[in-house]
Amino acid sequence: MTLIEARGLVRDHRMPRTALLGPRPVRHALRGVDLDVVEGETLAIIGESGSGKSTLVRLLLGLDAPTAGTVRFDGRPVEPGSAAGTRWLRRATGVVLQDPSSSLDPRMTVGRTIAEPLRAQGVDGDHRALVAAGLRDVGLDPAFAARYPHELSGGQRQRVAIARAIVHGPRLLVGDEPLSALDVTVRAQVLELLRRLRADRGLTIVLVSHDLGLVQHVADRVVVMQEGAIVEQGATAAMLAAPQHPYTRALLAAAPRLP
Amino acid sequence: MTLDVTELTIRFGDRVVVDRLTFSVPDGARLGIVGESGSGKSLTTLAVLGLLPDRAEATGSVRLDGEELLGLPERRLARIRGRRIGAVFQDPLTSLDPLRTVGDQLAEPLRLHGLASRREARAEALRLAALVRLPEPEQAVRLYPHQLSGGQRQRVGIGAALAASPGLLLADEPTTALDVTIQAEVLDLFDRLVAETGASLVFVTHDLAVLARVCTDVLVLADGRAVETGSVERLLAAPQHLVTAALVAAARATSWTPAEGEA
Repeated sequence: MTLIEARGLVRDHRMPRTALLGPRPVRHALRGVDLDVVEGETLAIIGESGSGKSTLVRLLLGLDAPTAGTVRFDGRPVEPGSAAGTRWLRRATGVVLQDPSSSLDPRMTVGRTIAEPLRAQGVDGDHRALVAAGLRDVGLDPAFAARYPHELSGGQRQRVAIARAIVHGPRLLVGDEPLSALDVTVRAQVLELLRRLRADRGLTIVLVSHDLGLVQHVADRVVVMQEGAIVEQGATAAMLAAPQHPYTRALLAAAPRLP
Repeated sequence: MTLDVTELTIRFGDRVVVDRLTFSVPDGARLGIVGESGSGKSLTTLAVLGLLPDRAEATGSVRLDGEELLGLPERRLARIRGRRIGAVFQDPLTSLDPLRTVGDQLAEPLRLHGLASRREARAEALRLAALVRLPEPEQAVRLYPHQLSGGQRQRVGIGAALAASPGLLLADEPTTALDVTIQAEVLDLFDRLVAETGASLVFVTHDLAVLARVCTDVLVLADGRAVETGSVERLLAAPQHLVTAALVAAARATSWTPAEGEA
């Protein structure tokens, strides 16, 4: 079943004028992207800075409005603009960002941080119990709820960020470079955690990354973006073994590997 | 140029962050220092450069071609930095001056150390811009850092580090902020320039795959201590220490490996 259906997505950014009376130049962040995300799959979107991968994800999450095109989530149109209009989508999605030390509020306990989406979205039930379950899901003891971010290691912080992203039971988890700020041994643990969440919860996962290791070890399918367009997509193993587009080939050739 | 670090200890108050660290970089060698955050790898490079924060106290010995650097007055260290030791850091946007042209910054070490007149510096800037393969060097030297891409800015950083032909090049996570294809180009540049200049290299990174691309030897740090050292090849194939084994296993589990039969 298709969870997300994006059609003809265009996103233009109007840039500042370069001449006093001249027109404002336009940067085309996305140039007509079609994308389907199937329920339960893990999809990786790869590409370099400025390729449009983060813009695409923002549109899928209803955090930004396309210049043209449509996004449907579970058949329902995503119409960004008002908080009320996208509340249902907030509830169906969770997001993990790159750097856990900047995405966690240093003044809030871990418990309050994780409970935040529950409060914001008016989720019923025992929040304390849900937070404890969220902590267990990411392999942390529920006693962590009383701690503050500075008392945690980088890996523990990223686990807390993931717990917050999944505590309200979303169907889609989006990660924007979720491993890149982590130490390599911690990366291996968080990577394993993502795999387990997918298996246990049937989560659909969309990862934005240029980390081919993460892609190879977690993703079922890969979408390659360049200059605002999808230049190649396919099953992970097949694409990594036989990349078709010159850009994908260049990306694979450039990735550092262990001898 | 030879670097000998002996029993280097760095303290912040009571907290020991680098603990009796000893290693050598023979003339022309390429040593990679790898470790996780907080292992002390960046502080070690700062200690070699005499750039530790004031709160830090360093004891032991750091010798460059036999000359003790630790405890030298800043005035003497300033004559060594940029001239005998070149340094490249992670983020070229913060290490370059936004108000000065690329050409000025490429040649700065030469001017600073009185190795070139204003006119010679201009010619040297052009030579360095070409050396690090900035596109259209004549134009590039007139640009400001914000007009360059991240990869080009790091090329400027490398050019400036090599301007005075230092015998030792220190690089601390120089490609961590770059996209993967740009990273590959910058690593190739390192590889080529270190070979051409014959400089000794100390390359600090958290990424074993990156390290393996430019270094022949590796020093593994954990909690401020040296846990293992040896050739990159041997260490990857047969790590002796638990910390190294965990590091190599995690790197294998998270980095990508081409399918069998792929180049």
